Amino acid sequence: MTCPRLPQIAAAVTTDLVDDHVAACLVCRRELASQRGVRDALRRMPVPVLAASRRRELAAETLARADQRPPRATRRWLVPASIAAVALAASIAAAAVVVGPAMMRGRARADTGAAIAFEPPVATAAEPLVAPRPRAIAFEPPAPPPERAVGAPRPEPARHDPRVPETLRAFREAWLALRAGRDADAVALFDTAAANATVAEEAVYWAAIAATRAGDRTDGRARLRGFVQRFPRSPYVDQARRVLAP
Amino acid sequence: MSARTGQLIQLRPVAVVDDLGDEALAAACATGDRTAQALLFERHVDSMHRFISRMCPLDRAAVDDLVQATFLAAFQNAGQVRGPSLRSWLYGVAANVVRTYIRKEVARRRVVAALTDEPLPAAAEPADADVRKLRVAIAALSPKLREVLVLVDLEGERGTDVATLLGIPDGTVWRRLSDARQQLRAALGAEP
Repeated sequence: MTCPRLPQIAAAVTTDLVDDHVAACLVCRRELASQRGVRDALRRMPVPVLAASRRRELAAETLARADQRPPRATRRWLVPASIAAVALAASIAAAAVVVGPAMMRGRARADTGAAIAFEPPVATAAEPLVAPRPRAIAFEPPAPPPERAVGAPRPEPARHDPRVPETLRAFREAWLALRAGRDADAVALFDTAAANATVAEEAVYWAAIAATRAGDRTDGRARLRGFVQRFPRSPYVDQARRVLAP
Repeated sequence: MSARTGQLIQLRPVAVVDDLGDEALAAACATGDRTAQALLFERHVDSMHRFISRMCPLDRAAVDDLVQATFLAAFQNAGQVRGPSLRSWLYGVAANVVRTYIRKEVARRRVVAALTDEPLPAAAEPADADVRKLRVAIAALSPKLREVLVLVDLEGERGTDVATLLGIPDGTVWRRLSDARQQLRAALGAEP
């Protein structure tokens, strides 16, 4: 005895939504009860818990290992580069094994005065016998580094994944600027980051905070009002409303 | 001037990374921010540890390594977070890590079994017979069935979210879940 609706019972057990058919069909009801029994037995199993001491150790180990790993974009080239290096070394070694003894035999034969057939190369119109002198290779010195104003922050070395969008980098820079007290810079960077939908909510809110800290309370309040309108369900809304309250 | 003496004025409240939501946290991790990585670990290590422990119920020794591998992979790929939530995405990363581990472990055990006649040491068993039976039955499931069962029935993830994080259709999730429950039912000795 079976029922075409049986495959849907798994979903019904999980969501606890039982339709009229399942309520009326004997086969479906039995399957429902059986699957619920399994699920309930699973839920009675003890929950694995990570001990606090092990948790701290694991965090320290993981973060230490994360620091040791080079950025992904660099690491991706390590394997092909190492394979190419090994292949090059192997081909050089093979060439030395094959060509080396042949050269030694030729030299030995020349030493004993044996006649060696030698045909001089024939010059063709296309290939003159005397090779043209190599032309001077134009050498361009490397471009000097861009001038940096005294006191301006050093450009950060390119250690980030190049696939990270500019807006997310701006978000990161904005945080650093905010922490460093460069509030005006933070406002500009958060404005750039706000173009990215993923961080827009955070960026718009913190741009308002940064503007307020920079001393421009009018701009800060205007930004907060815009934030509340744009993200009415944000967890920051209550805080923003408190600031905006007269 | 004298009127202000003794007043404590908070000139510049510190912006803390704790204020970040999950999406912004992932974005900060993608830039290599160590503080954000630490917070991501702190927020999600319990659920990842639970999930991996349940995926490898008889292989406790490997759990910590797999948790670590999951977070290292997450830090490296944090710029590509997809899915309904960061936690769901992390489950997907952990599922991949566990799948790779199981594949290698099965191959390794075959080689070891071929080289030696000695049985492999068994994991510590819990006292409760039903729990022991369940753990053995879960370990005997194929990784595809196991990850769906653990995510939906034990971790409480929604079926549609599991479909998204595993990259399979909703119907496949329910079919796998149904198959997994059937196998467990058979292992527990219940009426089919």
